[in-house]
Amino acid sequence: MESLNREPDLRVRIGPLVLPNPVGVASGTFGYGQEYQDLVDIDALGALYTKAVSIDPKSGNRPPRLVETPSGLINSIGLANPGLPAFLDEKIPYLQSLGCPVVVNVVGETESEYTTIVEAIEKRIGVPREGMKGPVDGYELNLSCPNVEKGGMAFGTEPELVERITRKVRKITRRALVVKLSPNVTDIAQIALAAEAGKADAVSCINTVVGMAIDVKTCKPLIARGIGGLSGPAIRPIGVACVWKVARAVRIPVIGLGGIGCANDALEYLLAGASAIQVGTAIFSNPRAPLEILEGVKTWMRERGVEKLKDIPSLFRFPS
Amino acid sequence: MAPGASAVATIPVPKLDRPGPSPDNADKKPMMRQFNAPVVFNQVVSQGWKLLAFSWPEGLTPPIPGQFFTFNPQGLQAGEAGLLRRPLAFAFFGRGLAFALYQIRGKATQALAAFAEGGSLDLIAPLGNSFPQPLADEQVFLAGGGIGIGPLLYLRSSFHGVEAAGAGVSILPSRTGKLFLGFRSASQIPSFTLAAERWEKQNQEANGAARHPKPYRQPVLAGLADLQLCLDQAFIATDDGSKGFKGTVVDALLQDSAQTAPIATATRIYACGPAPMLSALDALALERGSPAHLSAEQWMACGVGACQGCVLPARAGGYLRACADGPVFPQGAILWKA
Repeated sequence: MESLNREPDLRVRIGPLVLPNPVGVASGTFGYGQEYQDLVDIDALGALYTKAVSIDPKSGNRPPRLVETPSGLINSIGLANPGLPAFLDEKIPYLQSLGCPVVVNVVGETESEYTTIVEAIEKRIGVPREGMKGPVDGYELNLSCPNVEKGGMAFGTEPELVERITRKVRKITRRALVVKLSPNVTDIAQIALAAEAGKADAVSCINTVVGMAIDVKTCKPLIARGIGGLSGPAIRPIGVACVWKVARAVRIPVIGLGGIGCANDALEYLLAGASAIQVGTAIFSNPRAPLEILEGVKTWMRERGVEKLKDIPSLFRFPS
Repeated sequence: MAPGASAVATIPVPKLDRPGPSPDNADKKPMMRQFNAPVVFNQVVSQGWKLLAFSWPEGLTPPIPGQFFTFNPQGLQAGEAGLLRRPLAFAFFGRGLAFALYQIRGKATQALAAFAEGGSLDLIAPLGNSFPQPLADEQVFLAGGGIGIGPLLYLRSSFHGVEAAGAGVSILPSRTGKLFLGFRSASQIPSFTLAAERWEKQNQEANGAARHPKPYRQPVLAGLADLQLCLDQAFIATDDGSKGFKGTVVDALLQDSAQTAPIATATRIYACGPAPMLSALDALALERGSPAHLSAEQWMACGVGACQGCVLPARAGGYLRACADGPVFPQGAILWKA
C-alpha cells in the first residue's frame, strides 16, 4: 500500500452532472443554503440538496416536531416550504450565486405535481448549457418522506408508481435526476430497480426511518403527529445495509445517507457501494461536519494510495 | 468601570475561521459564527442554576438583548442526548465577555455544568432577533419568569448603559424600566455577589497568594456586579411567598401597574418565561393597547432557521420559527399554549 502524494480525484458523475466531490448536504437539513451561508463555505460542498419544494406553500406539522432519542433525532416537519412560486422568485436567484451543484428536492401530493414542479423550474432556468453551472443542476424526487398523509413515502413504496413518476419527470428534464428512497419498505432494491427502469440517473438512500417516542409521564407521544422520521447515528447501519443491497442491484450510482457524522461513517457508505454521500443531522450539531468529512476522506485516500474516489467500492473485502 | 483596558486585552480571545463583518458586508444583517470560546466563569448562582461567561471573538458583532447562542454539549456521546446543540439566551455582555444563565435540567445542561473554566466551548452565535429598544417617553415593564430572567437582566442592563452613556443629561425615568422577576421560591433567586465571593475564594485557594490573578478576573467581577445591580432593582415575586410578592410575576406586575394607574403615558412590555406567563402578558398588552415583545423557548435542532423544527403556532395561521423569526415575538403573533 503506497501513499499518494497528489490530490486524489474526488469527482463523481451523476448522469450529466459532475460533482466536484462526494460530500453533499441532505435535503431538509440545510434549507436553501442561505441559512448556513455565515457558517459554511457552501461553494466547497459536493452538492446542496435543497429543502423539498411543493407546488403550494406548506406550513408543516403541528409542534412539537423534534425529539432527540438515543443516538437519533425524530422529526416531523411535514415538508414545510414556501411553495413553487416563492421558490422560483426568491430562492433561485440565491442558488444561482452558489459555486456548488444544486439539486432541488421535489415533492408532490399527486403524480402530476412532480412533473408540474420540474416543468416550472425548467421553464424558468432554460435548457442546461454544457459546462455551465445553473441555479439548478438536478432534481431529487422525494418519494420517501414519512411525515405527510399524501405523496412522499406513499409513492415510494410502490415500484410501479416509482417507475412511472420517474419516467414522466425524465421526459421533461435533461438535468440530473435522482430518486430518494425510503427504508420503510420490504425490499429497497426493488424500488431502486424501478427508479432505474424509469431512467433515473441515481438513487439516494436512505430517507428517515419511521419512529416514535412516548413520554411516560404525560402518556403522550413526544412528536405531535405521533410518528416521525428517525435520523442520526442510530440509523447508520440501516443506511449502510440499504446502500449495499441497492448498489448490488442497480447499475446507476447510489448516493448514501443516514447518520453520517465523520469521515469513517462516509467511508462505510463508500465501501458499501455508494458513489457519493450526504450529511444531514450531523450538520445541526456541527455545521463544519461536511467539509471535515471531505478532508477526512481525502486523507484516507492519500494514506492508502487510492487515486480515484470511484475505486473505493472495489476495496470492500467481502464476497458478493 | 473597574477594569483597565490592558486587563481585557489579555483575555484569551476566540479566533474565527471565517472573517467577521467587513466594511463590504456591514450593511447586511449581523453575522453568526461557529467558534471555540474560552469559558472564564461557570459557577452556581442559586439552587440548580449556574452562570456561564465566555470571551467573545474579535471582529464578531456583540450579542444584543434577546439574542441567544447554541452550544455543543461536549463530553456527551450522541447516545446520551449529545446529538443536538442546545440554545441559551444571553444574560449580559460587557468588557469582552458574554454571560448566560442556565438551569441544570437535563443531560446537556448537566454536561455544561461540569464544564471546567479554562476549557473551550463550541458555540454558534449570535443567533435570533432581539428586543427592540423602547421609545423615550414610554413606561417600560420587563417581566422574567424562572430561568427566563436572563434576557430581561441583559435588556435592563442595556437601558442602564443608555443612562451611563447619557451621563450629565437628565435621564428619563422610563429609560430604566420596571423589572419584575418571578421565581418558584427564594432559593432560586441568584446571588451574583455570593457567586463572585466564592469564585474569588476558589481562585485564591487554587492559585496561592504568590500567583497573579487571572487576566479576566476584573471583567468577570464587573459583569457580576452589573448583573447584581439589575437584580437588586427588580421587584421579586415567588410562587410560595418565601420572598417578595406571593404569586406570579404577572400578578405582581398587575398589582404594581394598578397602583401606579391612571397611566397617561404609553407603556411597553418585555417578557421571557414559561408559556402561560407569556400568554397572560400577551392578553394584558392587547387589553391595554401596549406593544409587547415576548421571548419564547422551544426545542431546536439547527438554531439558524434551516430545519423548521422549533416552530410555534402563529395567530395569523401557519407557524413561526423560534430561532429565526424569533425568539422575540410582538404581541399577538403567537398562539401561546397556556
